[in-house]
Amino acid sequence: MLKLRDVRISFPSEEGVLVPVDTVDLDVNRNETFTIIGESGCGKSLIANSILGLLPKDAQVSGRIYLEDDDLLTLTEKALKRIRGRRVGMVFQNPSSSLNPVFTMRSQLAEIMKYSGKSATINKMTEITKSVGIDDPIRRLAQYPHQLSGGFKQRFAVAFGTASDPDMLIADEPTTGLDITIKIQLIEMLAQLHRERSILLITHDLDVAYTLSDRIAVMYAGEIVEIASASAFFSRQFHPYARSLMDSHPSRDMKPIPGTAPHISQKVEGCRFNDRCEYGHACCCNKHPELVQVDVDRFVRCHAYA
Amino acid sequence: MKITINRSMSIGLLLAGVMVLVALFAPWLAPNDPYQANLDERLVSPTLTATSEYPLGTDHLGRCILSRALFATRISLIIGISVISLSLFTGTVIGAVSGYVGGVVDEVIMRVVDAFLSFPGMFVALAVAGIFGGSIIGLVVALALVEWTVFARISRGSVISVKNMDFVLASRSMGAGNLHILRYHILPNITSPLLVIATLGMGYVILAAASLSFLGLGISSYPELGMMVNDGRYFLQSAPHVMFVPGMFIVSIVLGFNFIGDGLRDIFDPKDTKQRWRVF
Ligand SMILES: Nc1ncnc2c1ncn2[C@@H]1O[C@H](COP(=O)(O)OP(=O)(O)OP(=O)(O)O)[C@@H](O)[C@H]1O
Ligand code: SF4
Ligand SMILES: [Mg+2]
Repeated sequence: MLKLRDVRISFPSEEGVLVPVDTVDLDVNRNETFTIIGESGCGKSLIANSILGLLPKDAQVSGRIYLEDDDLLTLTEKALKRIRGRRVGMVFQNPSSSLNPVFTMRSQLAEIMKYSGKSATINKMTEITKSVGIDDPIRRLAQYPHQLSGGFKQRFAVAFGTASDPDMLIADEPTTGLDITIKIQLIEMLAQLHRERSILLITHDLDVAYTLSDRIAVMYAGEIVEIASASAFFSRQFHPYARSLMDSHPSRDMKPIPGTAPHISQKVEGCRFNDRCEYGHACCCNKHPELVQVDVDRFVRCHAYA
Repeated sequence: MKITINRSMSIGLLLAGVMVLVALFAPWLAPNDPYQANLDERLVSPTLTATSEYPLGTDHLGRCILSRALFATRISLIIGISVISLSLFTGTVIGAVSGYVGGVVDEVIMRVVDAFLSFPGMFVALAVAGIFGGSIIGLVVALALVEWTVFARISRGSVISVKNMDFVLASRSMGAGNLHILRYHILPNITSPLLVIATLGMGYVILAAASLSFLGLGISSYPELGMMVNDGRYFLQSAPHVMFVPGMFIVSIVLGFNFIGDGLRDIFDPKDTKQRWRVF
């Protein structure tokens, strides 16, 4: 369905070229939920936005991004516009700022349906609103964003992203900032959605990743360090960073990972995790590890498995 | 949405409302022909009774000051509204494009605005009014040339702050084009600062028009408040009302619009209204 090959995102800056995302390869299969996890700033949102060409103008993207047979990076803006919303929908990180404050939900939903070529009848809008688990659609559709709670706003954001019935949904941290019960409801709703479409889910919430993913990729400092099927991954992590990430979860030791990730302006010779890694090998500091297959459904970027 | 009308808003609405009504109904309200000179009754003092022939007295040519002031209020408001609409439209379009497109286009447009701003506004207006001499159109163009820059700057700034909001990105991710984003997402979110500036601008423009007329560069073929004040200059001691009456009209109009503008600004102030999200 979606294939990223050797994707690299860079920004020219005064301190030289910044490369917040480097050599990312991943595949999202049809009707699969593929999750990217990783700490703040590791480049997750940049990858999400690069797919539909939504990065700022100064961003330079190289590599290949295929949506089925279309090579998205070579498409014109006009061709991309026809893909956005209709074939790939998006849900953004911050529900309160991803809705326009001066219009009612109904007006916004109608607007989205209109420019994706659907007729915005009230029946259709009620149906869409119901599909994201909103029980009183008529009342909610008449409200402004500031009258809705975070949970409702995020549901509407999902409704907007799926209003044109795309085959694929990119959800960038759809559960951030929601309290636990609402989070669970939203997860259930996404789980519902995922039977019918492919989802690229981005999160740093391990519970969300655990509940929803079919496959999972762990990112660190702009690189994918481990890709595995979710079941294999949650039973055992290979990459030391992935393992520490799991250990930082409350159900485990809640052990924080010492140190911080290298800043994007920093050039790291060897493994980008080496200054925080407890299994450091001799070659870790000067030789950059490649992502290698270590199992039927697992790739790891670490010298310990090479 | 609940709009709370605050005190400065009510005073402003009252003052400006009265002045607008007065201007609208000037032909019916005026007791005399504003152009009719009566040399036998020059510099008559105000009687302040509605039944008398000249309730607010006459000027040095024996013309009814009340009638002239009523008609002059009309002219002032027409000038104010024309200048503001013209500058609001051009300034907003230019500023919005500049802020939205960014890059070199923005750079060039903003240097042009800077060039306009580097001349003292009044001098530009003086020069243009001097060239066009005495016509309403000339005066409107002169003032709009100064005023549009304000709208251009404000709309540019607001567009820049709105265009990076997530809902614009979200809309783009659903296939919306630039025109749609500008019209549907950006313009509605920048109206409040523009509305405040437009209302405050009304007061400023009317005052500036009166000042140009006072200096003899305004319009000469109609009664005009600034010109009336100028006419009264020589009789400041013997007949102060000739200057005072048009002066009070100017003050009422300008204060009215300024109060409304201040009131609007308070209403739109994000610190006061958690209800609604604001740019300004
Ligand atoms: N326009 C830009 N110019 C330069 N650097 C940028 C730009 N946008 C993002 N970055 C950098 O790229 C890195 C990755 O950003 P990104 O938003 O993808 O992180 P993220 O993984 O989504 O984090 P979070 O969990 O906080 O959302 C950050 O370090 C950020 O500073
Ligand atoms: S390559 Fe070396 S430093 Fe990097 S994660 Fe593996 S063991 Fe640790
Ligand atoms: Mg992010």
